[in-house]
Amino acid sequence: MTDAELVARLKANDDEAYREVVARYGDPLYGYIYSITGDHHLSEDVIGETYLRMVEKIDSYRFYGAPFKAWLYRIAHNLAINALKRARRGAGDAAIEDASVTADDPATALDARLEAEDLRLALAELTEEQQQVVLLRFVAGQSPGEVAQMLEKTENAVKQMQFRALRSLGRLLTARG
Amino acid sequence: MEDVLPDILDQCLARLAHGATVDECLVAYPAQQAELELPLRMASRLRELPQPALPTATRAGLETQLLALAAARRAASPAAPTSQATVLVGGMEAIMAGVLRALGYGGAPRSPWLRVAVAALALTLALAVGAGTLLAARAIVEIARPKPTPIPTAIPTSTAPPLAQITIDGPIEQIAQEGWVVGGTTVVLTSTTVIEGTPALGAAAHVRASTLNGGGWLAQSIVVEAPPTPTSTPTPTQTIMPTEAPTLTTTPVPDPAPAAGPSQPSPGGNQGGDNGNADENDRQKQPCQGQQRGRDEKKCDPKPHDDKKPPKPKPHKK
Repeated sequence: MTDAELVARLKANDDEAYREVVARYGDPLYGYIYSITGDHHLSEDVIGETYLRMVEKIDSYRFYGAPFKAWLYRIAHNLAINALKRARRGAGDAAIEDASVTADDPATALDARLEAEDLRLALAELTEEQQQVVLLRFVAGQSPGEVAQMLEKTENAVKQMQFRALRSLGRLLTARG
Repeated sequence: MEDVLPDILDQCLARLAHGATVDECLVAYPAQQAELELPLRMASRLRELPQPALPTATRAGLETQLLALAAARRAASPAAPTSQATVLVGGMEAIMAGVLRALGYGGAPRSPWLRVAVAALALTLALAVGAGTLLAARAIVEIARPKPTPIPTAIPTSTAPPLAQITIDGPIEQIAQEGWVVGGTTVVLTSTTVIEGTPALGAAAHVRASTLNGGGWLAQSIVVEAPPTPTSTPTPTQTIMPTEAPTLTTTPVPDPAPAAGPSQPSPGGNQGGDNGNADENDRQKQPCQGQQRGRDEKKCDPKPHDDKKPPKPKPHKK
């Protein structure tokens, strides 16, 4: 089933399409959301909200615009950023970090987890567009062309933003020590 | 230098994605090594970020929630008109996207562009259809509108003069099959002429006549009074003056049916014919031989001139 067929069947409220969209994009979306939030519970809430928003907006989606995958990632990204901001406002960064560390797989090395958390925190300091470019390129695995289509920019502009975002991220992490 | 770095970085990222290491990429670009190292290591770290899979319980709960939503949407809108409108708009936008591509538009057909184009197209079509409908309605109204009845503002175009009716009172001077001379005026008799009394020369007659188209008078009714009893034998030398002047009374009445008939020569020299004006002229020359009123009243001389003798009455024929 292509993405176009999947969208058409989702608009027709076909059960099989709803199962398919979870099977096809559940894991990548969850990983993408987790790369932003660093918290399983928060990521589960965000992915549920992402699918709910997809159902609400599916009738207005046009397939010739952004690819369906990019459209889903954009919804997830916005919801994850907002959820992360709300969580930090409510509990503070430390609480989120502690929760993420304790919620991670115990088998994962503590250094790796802390390194990942440092990276997420540095990511949060990038501009909104730089965050999107970096996450879509290296977490969601999209090509520069796909990111350009999603963000409605040229491919060269995405490459420029990618270079500046990675350089800024490196400098931020270096500054953190 | 700065401009080429993003492209070189992207080439290196592609090599990393195919299994190359960061050091291999830096060796490939020694001149840009210092600028490329930090971004390449950040990209590598980002790719190594843990991406946990969606927990099974969460996946099952998510599927259940979505299937319930789908069922609710199916129940809520089995044939919602909005979905038809959505399909229509979507079809128009898809057509517009094809048109834009056919016109050479190379970029991605973004939804806002297409919506504006579709809105403009729909507006144009609506205006065209509206204008056509208005014109058609006007044409229908113009056809259906009752035509105003023309109000006659001019006199009827008939040039025939209204027939006049006169009354002639006088003695019967001549009786012939085609006409009588009463009081000096010749009247034409037809089968419709009503005659009352016994016609006799010299008898007083009361004639109602109407003009003929060609001139002359058509007797409609003649009332003959009893002839006067002669009290004395008339002598040839006796001058008989008309004791009763003939009276012509003209009353214009519309003629229901124009009567046609040959006019007879009048005693006064009137020449009957088709020329009614000539007859009128002749009548104007002769003195009035009776009391003519109406139209002919001014055309005759009621009193004979002094140098003219009164007309001698013709001998009565029996």
